[in-house]
Amino acid sequence: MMRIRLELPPFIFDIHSSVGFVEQNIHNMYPDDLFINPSRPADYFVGVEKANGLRKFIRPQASFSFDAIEPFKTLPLNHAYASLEWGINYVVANQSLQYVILHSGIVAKGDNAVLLPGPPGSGKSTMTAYLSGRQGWRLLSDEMALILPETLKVQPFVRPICLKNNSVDLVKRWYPEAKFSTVARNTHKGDVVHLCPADSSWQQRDELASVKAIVFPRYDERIDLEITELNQNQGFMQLAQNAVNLNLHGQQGFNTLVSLIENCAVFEVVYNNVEAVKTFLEQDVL
Amino acid sequence: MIKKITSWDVFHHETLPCTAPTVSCPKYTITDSTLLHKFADGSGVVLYQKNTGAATGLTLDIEDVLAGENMDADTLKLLNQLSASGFLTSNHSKY
Amino acid sequence: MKQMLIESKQITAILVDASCCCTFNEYQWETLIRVLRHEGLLARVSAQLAQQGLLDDLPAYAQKHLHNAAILAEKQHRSIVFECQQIKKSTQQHGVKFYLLKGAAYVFCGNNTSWGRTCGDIDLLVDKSQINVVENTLLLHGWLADDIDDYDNAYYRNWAHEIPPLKHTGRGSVIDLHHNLVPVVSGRAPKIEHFTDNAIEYDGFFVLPPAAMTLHSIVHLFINEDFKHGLRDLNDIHLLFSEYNSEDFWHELDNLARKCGFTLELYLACRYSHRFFQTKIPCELASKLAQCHDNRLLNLLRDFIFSRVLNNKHPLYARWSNSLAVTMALVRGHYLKMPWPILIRHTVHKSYRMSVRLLLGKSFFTKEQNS
Repeated sequence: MMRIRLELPPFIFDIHSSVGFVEQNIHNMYPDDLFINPSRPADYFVGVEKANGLRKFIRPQASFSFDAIEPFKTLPLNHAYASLEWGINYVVANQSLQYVILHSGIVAKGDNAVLLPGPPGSGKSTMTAYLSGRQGWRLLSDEMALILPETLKVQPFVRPICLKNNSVDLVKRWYPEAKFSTVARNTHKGDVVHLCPADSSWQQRDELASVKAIVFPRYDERIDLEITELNQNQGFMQLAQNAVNLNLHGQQGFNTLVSLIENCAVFEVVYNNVEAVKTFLEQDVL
Repeated sequence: MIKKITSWDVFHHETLPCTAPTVSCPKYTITDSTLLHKFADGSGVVLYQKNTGAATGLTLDIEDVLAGENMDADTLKLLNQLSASGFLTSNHSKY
Repeated sequence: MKQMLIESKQITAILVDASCCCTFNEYQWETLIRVLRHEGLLARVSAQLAQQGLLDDLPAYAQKHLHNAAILAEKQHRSIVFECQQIKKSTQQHGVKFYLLKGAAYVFCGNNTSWGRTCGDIDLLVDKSQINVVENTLLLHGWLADDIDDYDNAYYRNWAHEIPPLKHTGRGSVIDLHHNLVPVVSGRAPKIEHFTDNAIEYDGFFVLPPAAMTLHSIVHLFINEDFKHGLRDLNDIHLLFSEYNSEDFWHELDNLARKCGFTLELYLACRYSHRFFQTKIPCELASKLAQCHDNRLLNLLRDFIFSRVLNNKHPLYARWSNSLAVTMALVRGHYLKMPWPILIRHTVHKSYRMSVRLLLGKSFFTKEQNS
């Protein structure tokens, strides 16, 4: 039985699991200095355990829990580590109202951040993985941007990046030295592997950045690079669709989105060439 | 770097055609729980319903539309939809 | 034996007087926040601390979580008001008189119980003759009955005091539409006018007068098999008792309970509200109720069950006797709700489902979501 306390700024998680490969993955994905002793209070208690029921002898299942509450259906045991990562996202999305949360990748060059919101399949995580490993860039999050209400400031929430299907091979080619988790096969997102972000991202995990640009990525293998500048109304609507807890923030949440849109460059980028996107961002946007 | 600006189609409501007035309609007003923002770049307005978190973008100026006396069927349909989503209220009902 | 940082008793003491937690260190706060969140009471304690102006002096860790809980509860309250307005708007041509129950009622009348009260579903009561028209109209406006099996549907239609929950397809809000306060099948459904007479209007909705509102909360808690929110619901009753405390109120409450045959439930509510929260119950009423219902043997059994199922159920405080008490409460609740022949049919059906669940896992009956 593993019980650890992980400092994942801005939160502290207490995590338990008796599934062996979950523990291995956690130690593989998270740097040692994030493991802290329990003298500091944890914000959230989560875990993933083998599910009960006689079915476990036929098809072993795992279940995620948030302090004794199990918000999801059980999943095949093979998904245990991935479901722990998703469960942590779920808890933050539902409980952490000190931030306006956008379902979005977010990377920064120095302290200049680029939001990469997009639906599954848009290549958001692939783009995030690519950029966050380049010289001078860092990861803030591949899934959720924690915006301080009514500012352009974003709090990093550095975690392993969730890669799906074909993007795994692509990222392994770009970053052959990087650490990858075991594969969760046939999840609702396909085959899933988590990637440990580069050291620089971990080192700057406490440093806020300012959002300078909002880029809606869309992967299309036929198109090298096509950039469309969106007007503010279009940008707002796209951003609102990716807002996780806008309904909880009322006026403050609305103001936050408006200020992001009015102070940032907003583009849709259709691409198959990640390096071209990076050049565009570095030369024309930041 | 070449910026190719293309048209962009994912959008809620296109600008409404101003056809001849047809019917007089119930008077709609924006509800207390709706926030409105007019974008500086002239791209229209966005409405946000505080209670549900719903947002909708409009390329027309909703305040002008509401001030107008008569409107065509498409506009009425839109106002009706906005009312059903809690952005507007008609003078018949309290809400 | 696990080392307990705070005792169960300290948690109930905080629900009586929130300032009790002001001396807690971060360690104790960690446990307290876990337990209160689990019981749906974090926002209530947060509201009470804010009321007393004590929030700002607490450790940052506690403030953060208390503040977030308060925002969540506020949002639930706003949603309830909004959804009720939508319901009203959808059904306005039928002139339906809606009575609000439980959480929604507290929110509309803004009593002390509403502060930080977490609410899930919206409980509405309408006249039985209007149930069909309300259901059909709400259907047109997007509130659909969740997929339930034929057995459950028949159970609701024939034996219950409400129809299957209606869920809004767009917003996910859930309405429980009632025509009575306890299941018809129990044979104990009161004449509903005893409760709805003299209801008070708030923004087009009706809230039962204090004694009826309180008695309904009591009946809802004690004629039930599910005590998932036991501590919160008992704390509601304590707050109602304390806020409405007056000679007239207690007299009304006693009268209504007698008229409708709920004196046992009132007795239990007074007994456990006093035991958990030291609620002040008028001696005269207490002895009157004790005369009818005090029974040493039965009370041993009742205390065993209720001191556990009404207490916090966080696994940190789990003991084997708690699960026994939960099972006993389950059996008791079912027995109170249904006559034997129906109960047996119900049990056979449910245990078939339970054994399938045990064999095939929890998700067997959950319809696959299309993603």
